[in-house]
Amino acid sequence: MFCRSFCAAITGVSAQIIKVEADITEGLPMFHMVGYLGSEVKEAAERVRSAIKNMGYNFQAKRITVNLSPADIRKEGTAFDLSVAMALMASFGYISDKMFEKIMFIGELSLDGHINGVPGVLAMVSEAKKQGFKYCVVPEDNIKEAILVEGMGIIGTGLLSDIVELIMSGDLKKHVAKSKVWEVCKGNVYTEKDFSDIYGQHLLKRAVQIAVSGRHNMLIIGPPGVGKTMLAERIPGIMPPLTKEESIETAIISSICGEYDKLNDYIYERPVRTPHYSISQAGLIGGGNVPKPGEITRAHRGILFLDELTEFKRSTLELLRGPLESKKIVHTRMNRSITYPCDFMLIAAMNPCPCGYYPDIGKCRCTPDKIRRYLGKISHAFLDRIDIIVEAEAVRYHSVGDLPDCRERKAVSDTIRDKVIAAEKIQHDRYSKDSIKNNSELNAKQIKKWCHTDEAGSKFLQEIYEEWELSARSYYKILKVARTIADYEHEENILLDHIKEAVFYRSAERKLWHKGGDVIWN
Amino acid sequence: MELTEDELWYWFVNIEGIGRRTRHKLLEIYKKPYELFLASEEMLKNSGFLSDRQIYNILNRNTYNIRDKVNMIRRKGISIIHFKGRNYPERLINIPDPPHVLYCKGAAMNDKNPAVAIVGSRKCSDYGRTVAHNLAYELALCGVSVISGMAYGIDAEAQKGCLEAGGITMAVLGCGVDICYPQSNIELYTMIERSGTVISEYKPNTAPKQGFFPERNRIVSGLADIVIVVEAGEKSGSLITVDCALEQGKDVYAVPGRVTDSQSKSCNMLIKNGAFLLESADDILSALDIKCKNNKSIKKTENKYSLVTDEKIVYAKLGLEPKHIDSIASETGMSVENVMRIVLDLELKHIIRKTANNYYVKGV
Repeated sequence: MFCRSFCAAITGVSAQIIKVEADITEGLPMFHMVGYLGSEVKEAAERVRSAIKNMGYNFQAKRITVNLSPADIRKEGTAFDLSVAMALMASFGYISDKMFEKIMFIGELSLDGHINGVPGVLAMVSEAKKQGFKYCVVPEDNIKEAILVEGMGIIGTGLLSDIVELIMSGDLKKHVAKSKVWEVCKGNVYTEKDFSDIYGQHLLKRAVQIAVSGRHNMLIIGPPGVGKTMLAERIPGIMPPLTKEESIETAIISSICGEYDKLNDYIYERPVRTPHYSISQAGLIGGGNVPKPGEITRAHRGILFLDELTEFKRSTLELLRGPLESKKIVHTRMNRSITYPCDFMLIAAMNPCPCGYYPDIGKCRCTPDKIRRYLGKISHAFLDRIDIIVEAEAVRYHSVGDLPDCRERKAVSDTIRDKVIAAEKIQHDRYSKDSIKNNSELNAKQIKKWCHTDEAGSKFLQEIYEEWELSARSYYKILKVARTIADYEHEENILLDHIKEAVFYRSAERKLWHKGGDVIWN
Repeated sequence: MELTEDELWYWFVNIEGIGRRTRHKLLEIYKKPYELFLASEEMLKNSGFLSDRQIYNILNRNTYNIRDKVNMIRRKGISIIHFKGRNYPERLINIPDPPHVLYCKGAAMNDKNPAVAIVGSRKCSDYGRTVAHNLAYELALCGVSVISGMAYGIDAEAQKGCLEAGGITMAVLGCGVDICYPQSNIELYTMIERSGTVISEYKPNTAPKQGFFPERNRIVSGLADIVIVVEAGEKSGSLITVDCALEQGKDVYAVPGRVTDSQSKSCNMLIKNGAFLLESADDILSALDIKCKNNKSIKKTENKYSLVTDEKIVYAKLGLEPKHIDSIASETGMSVENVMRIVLDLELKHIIRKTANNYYVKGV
């Protein structure tokens, strides 16, 4: 007898519906699985056989063929186990398959009939909703992510026999889990890490606020122990919370990466990825024979923090150039091409020299040549993708000395975040008809359209352009950052002051990376 | 085929296995490379201090090859000055261990002017740079040549200052004159080549080697009447130049620094040990007995601009010691974004300067 159930296969960050067809005929007993399957999918045969047997059903000795259709796309993973089992149970005649058209079965089977969690459930359930399915049977482990999809009947199950009985009873509605209630996110989810924890570093704090408001990539240069890492950890706290769509996007990615157990608890939280500098190329941008998402994709809608930037392999860093512009990465392999999104904000931190203490002449032990070589590890092409560069000062005693009392300490992250949200709203409104969202994405044409300066501002820009021999690219960068500063200050036009501040954020590049720039100690 | 004098000297200084000390001995005996060129194997053996290998190297020479190489050097615009030549700088003749051949690139060497050597550490503070630059500038205005080693830091800064004033500067390198070392000083190198002279005792195309730099220091001090140390940390290479200067009987001046500054350690030590304390270019000018008419000190632009109140407040907080923008903000009580704008303005007006990593000092 022929029966059909449904499951889904993950490609990139989306899923594709897969029909699982089971056919049982008389003949020599055998269990054959076809349909361009990965080895773990073929092994499903053994798991399904044992699970069905151990649940107390008779696994009939017949000629069994299971086909996963469409048969021309490669199938991987263990999520098909449950749908294979259900198709077989129906084929054996234990249950009826009349409801199967409306149900998607997702899950991996244990030999004893338990159902284990699998990665990518959220993407599969979303696709199921699009394709008009009514119910999704998912492993209990995955229920938290599955209920993020509104209007889908999610049934969590831990045991094969439970779901078989459920289908027999025909009363699916009763067992549907409550779906997630989306509410407006209030308050800071990162209350533990507040901006007020950082003493001094006014420049750094200001620059971060601007960078976050316009989603500008940022590089922090500073000696060890000035709070570069500390600051980066506090950046998510001042970023606007994820919108519903965004949080589903990020949840899908974490789900594909198999981090489904923590999902939903932190649903508004922006991801912060802090890969160690020993990371491989594939680890950073994703890859493998079957391309898996890398750190940049997992930082989607959030922050990629590269600490000790100069210690990363140059070849690894240069890979970021493309994704930083296009906000996506395409992995092309022989038989497929997978696109992962990677719209992240890059925060990089590095020491000013190999020993870390430049320009403190008393502490720094580096020669000018060494410093040049060190800085030279960062290519101009890479620097071109960074809008804001700030240099932090070693914290002086008086700022460490008079730490305010903990009781007096006021959380400031919330206030800053409100300002950032306001600045972001201005941008979203302005670009509602364009395809972009933030100032950092402005192209030359859009800059002409949106970045109007007052007369004093354009005169100043011209002066600085000639005096500093800026490139056209730097010029546009200054305007983009100035636009963000104006938005942050709620100014409609870019004023002279905004341009000056934006120019200031470019001055470090000129000082450190410009040819003929001098290495001077203090 | 007769070799010219230059070619003979070139051959003489480049005989394999014969170092400077042996060359001095040979010159004492033969006076001129020509005589050595003519010497027979027996004569060489009789001299008593040459090994068989060295004798073999002296006798096995290819005159065509020598001529080729010398022509090649000339084609690069490099001239060869030898010990007995007319152009050989007078100051070097009497120093211990003088170089036998100097390769020069650029303008013809001018050793008639009074000359000072300005040396110091590669790793220098902003104070050191400013002093070196201004000192060289003022001395150059009064017609004093500035000699240095074109290294990073003090050396380069002094030579830049000299060139800015249109003075004559000579760079003594620790590598072939056709190699710019350090590479990033290429701009300075080209400028010196245009209006000054690049000098080396190493033949063209010689790569820099650690041992070469202390050796060239004796030429730096030798070409000068006075040696000035601007900034030098402990165990600085500048101390070698000072030793050479003392050996050659030249006066040494040192620029004092604060006792806490690591880069002024050696300068203060030199003063303690009897070096002259240098405060301004006038000290040198009076020592050299130069009366300079157009003694304009570094132009001051401060008064050219009228500053608004905020700018004045920020400017007042700055000094010679670099100050970070955060400190300025907390000292003035202004917001950091205001301070950013103000320092940028002041920087563009050229009355303050950014040293490194958002630190600022007064002055240009």
